[in-house]
Amino acid sequence: MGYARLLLGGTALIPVLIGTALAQVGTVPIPTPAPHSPIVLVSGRDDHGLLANPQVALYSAVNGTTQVARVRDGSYARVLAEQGTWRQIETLTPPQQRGWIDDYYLRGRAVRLDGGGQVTFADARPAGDHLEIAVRPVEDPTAAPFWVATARLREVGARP
Amino acid sequence: MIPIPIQLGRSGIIRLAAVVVLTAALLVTAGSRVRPAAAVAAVPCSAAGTWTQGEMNVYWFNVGQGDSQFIVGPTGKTLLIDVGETRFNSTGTATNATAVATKIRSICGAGSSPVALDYVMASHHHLDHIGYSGNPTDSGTIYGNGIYQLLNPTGLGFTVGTFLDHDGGTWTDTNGNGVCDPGTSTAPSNEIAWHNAGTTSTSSARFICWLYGPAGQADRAAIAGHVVTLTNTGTWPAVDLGPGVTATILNANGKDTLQADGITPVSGNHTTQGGSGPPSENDYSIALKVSYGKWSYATAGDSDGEYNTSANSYTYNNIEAKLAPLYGDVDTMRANHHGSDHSSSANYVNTLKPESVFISCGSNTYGHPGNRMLNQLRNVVNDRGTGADIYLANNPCDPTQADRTTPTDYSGTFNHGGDVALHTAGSGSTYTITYDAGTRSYTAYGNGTIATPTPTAVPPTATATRTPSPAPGTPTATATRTPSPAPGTPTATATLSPTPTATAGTADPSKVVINEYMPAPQSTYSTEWIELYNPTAATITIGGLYLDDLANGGGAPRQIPAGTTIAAHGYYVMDISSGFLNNTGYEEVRYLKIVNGVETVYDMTSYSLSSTHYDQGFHRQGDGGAWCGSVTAGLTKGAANGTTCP
Repeated sequence: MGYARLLLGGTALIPVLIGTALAQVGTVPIPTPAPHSPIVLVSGRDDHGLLANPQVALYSAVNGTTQVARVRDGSYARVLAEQGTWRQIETLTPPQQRGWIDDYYLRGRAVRLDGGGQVTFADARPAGDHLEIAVRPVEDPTAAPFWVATARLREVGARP
Repeated sequence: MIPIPIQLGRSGIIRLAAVVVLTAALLVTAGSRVRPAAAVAAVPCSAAGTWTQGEMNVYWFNVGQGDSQFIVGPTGKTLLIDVGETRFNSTGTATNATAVATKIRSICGAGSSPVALDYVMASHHHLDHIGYSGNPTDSGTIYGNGIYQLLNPTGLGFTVGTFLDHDGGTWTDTNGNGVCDPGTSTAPSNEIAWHNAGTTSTSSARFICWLYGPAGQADRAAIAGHVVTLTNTGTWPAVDLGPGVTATILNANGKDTLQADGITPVSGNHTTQGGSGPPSENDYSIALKVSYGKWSYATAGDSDGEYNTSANSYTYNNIEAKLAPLYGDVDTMRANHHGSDHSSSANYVNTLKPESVFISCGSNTYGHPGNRMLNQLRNVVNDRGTGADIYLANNPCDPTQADRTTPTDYSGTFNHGGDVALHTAGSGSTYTITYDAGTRSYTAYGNGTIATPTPTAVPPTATATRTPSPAPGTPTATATRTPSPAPGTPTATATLSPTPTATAGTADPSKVVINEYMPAPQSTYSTEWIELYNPTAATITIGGLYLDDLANGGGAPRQIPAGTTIAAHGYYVMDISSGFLNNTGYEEVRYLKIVNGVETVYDMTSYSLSSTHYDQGFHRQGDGGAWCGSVTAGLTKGAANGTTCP
């Protein structure tokens, strides 16, 4: 199975406003393409790092109630578009799933299990049967990224 | 330096509340979608409420897997600790904050008005303790529950005199736009200067933005100028809960505790720490001790009780090691971190020696409460004997332990779901705890008579061991110098620091406890009876003391014949003609001294039955252990109690 580099699709630019609001929704802005399509880690963990949701729901729209997919905790994804605190993401490992999710469930950094400290994500690529993430030390956002297998990364605050 | 705490009189609070609400109605900040409130002035706790005047009142609200507790002092001064939420995006009436507000209004007799709270404390910055705060940068979706919703003028409209927060961090307006940006996963904020933090979360970033954001922001109207930050260098303020009450902040920010390497402080900014990961936010929790008369209470957020630096990407640090000697012996303890096995360490429990414990847990898959800590509480040697009464916000919380296989052992615990309330009586000399199945009564021991040093005390570094249920009459010493109990021996350990707690050689009648009783004889028994148990290693004289039912009511006290003694770990049973203990309704059983009409209650328990249960009664789990909650025919008059509850 290949890991295609994801490009922004036209659907990411379509405002989604129909019948999906929660109890309180104010002015809904039009989604905008996420700059540089950043990489994120999908988390089902609570503030303690404890696993609260082994699978996290993706929705058809911002503030949506219609689930279109469920993504396993610890999956990596690329952000396609953003609207307020919501992000449209597509997972980077099969089955590639696309949908909207609140940023509450996304992480922009991880800790290296080899003692390399905390890192941010710059890019992703397939490497044989697994995924590699290009990372930078969190203290040095301008450093040249280097590739690390996802198995060597863990959410900051997560328990195995 | 920290700001000077605001100490307001009752009338001052009323005036402040009016000003705050009026201000909130006028302020609308650019970027905020907070609307002017249809303001109703917040009112203080009044005599019209359900709280008990002249005594301490503690309410543990059931907010699921989270925390919220409310303390009302003898004159109505109030302290709210935490308003946790279980969902970050709950809003409106679906929040724990809304439910907590309703309960506080009732307790305080506020009708439909918001309440002017004297103090609010955020134990630490996790969703299940503070909720999820709104932010002016939000668009499309409105957030805001927990403490934010409670104190938002357009939310629930409560006000606060002093807001106590640990020094996790503060806002710096990096981009100069006058709004605190909490950031997102892909665009982290550089507007929060972390002070004492390890793991961070969106919950904590939003909370800091709200607490320390711009002064004119409308949703900050009730807290602007009221936040007192507990820094590591400033003097922590006393919490004024009224006359006779001592409320002391013992810890915050992980101060004075080192990480597992023995070098790095837990305090400080560790948000980018690698290695085993940063310290848990739990370890920055505020610890508070409240005392009133002899009654004392310990609550310390989610403080951890061990070092754990395994493959986890955050660390536990043993904050409880610092807290234990600061608390000393207490009567009531709120178990740290929802009853996690990483907290309530053996040293912590055996130093605090609580008689009653509340665990705030809800539906979870984390193994809360942990069997290890539950057994620690069941076996703790405290001032009344062995075992603490364990109250849960819910039962079950997690049906199994973290291995997802081992069943959680809820035996002998109290409360299946709902709020639990504690009220002292006699100016803190006794207290009751009310839960879903009734009310239980306790003697308050304060620092406890068991802590008195004796000539036979072992060195502070030794370990005291005690067999929980010795055979009756077995004259075994309870303090030994054995550092390592034999494998498999069911012993409880107590660290004898700073005050030795050895019990050998004592002959104090206050150590004898009510162990079992039977109120309704029919065929198995011909009389009512009450059994006392001597948990010490010394013979104790109890002649001349009394057994009684309700104070100032019921039957006359029954005096124990002169010269009566109880052997070490032995029993005394008083048979009483029928008609003494009530068969139905609320009743108390008391063991006490009466001199010149003045009662000194050594032990007390209570029950409430809706129908008569002939030849049945109540017993502790094991001799001197926690009381079993159900009436049973499985009694053992004059002999060792069963080690399990019905």
